[in-house]
Amino acid sequence: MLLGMVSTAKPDAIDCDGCLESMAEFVELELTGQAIPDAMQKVQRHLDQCMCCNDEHAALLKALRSLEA
Amino acid sequence: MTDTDMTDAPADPWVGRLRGQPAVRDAAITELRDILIRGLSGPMAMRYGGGLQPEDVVQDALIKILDSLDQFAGRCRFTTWAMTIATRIGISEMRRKHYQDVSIESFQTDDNTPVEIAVDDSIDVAAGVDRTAMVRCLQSLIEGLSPKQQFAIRGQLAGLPVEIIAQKSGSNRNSVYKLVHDARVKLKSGLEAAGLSAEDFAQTFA
Repeated sequence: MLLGMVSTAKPDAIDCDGCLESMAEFVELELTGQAIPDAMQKVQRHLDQCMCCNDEHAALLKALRSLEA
Repeated sequence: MTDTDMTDAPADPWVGRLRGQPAVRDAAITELRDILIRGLSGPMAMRYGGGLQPEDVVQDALIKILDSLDQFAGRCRFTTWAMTIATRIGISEMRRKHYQDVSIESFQTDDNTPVEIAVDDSIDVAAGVDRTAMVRCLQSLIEGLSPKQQFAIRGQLAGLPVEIIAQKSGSNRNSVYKLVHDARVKLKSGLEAAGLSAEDFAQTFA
């Protein structure tokens, strides 16, 4: 596990609160199939590095999709 | 409509209703509560054993949402913004409950026990690869981490989310995330500086 954590480490410009601030906008882009602009790529990079935010992002997508169904 | 009315008009109908007269506000809160409960029911049922119901966390979410209305910038739908807050609160509370009986004492750093490097000896090593030297290099890099970083890494290796490590150590999620992330980047850079690819390293050791 440690080696996996090390090998997948990549730069991350924001923290969990920074991710949360942009999360709603980010998931709407995803849900509507729009391209993620460069300014929002920081959210994807954080999600790739942070398991807590990644899990919350997955839960949010599921919640919003269930409302649209 | 007067100029004043136009200036003060809320940009989003939800915000206007939630700041409206009591009857309007109460109806909006009821409607928003129903939306949040409906949305959270699926994700919350599938995580951490489903030990909490959406109804258990929606009240806290509503309080946070109402306190944060000024922060809604209108760059997305209001319900998406509100659901984002509710999801964070709901999943956080489920994590807290799930790990409430887990102690962090077992990976405190005051005994100088090295961070364990999992090695699978059954994996064949490519010719010319000195597995012992690789472990020694990584161990040396780990010892170069701060005690707080080693503590956080131990917690992660014990399977704890950074949020739980933060709660149990009196820190906050952002700080522990940064501790762990900086440590991961430092270890990876250290391996690369020693001529070892972290990816190759990960393939050599399970």
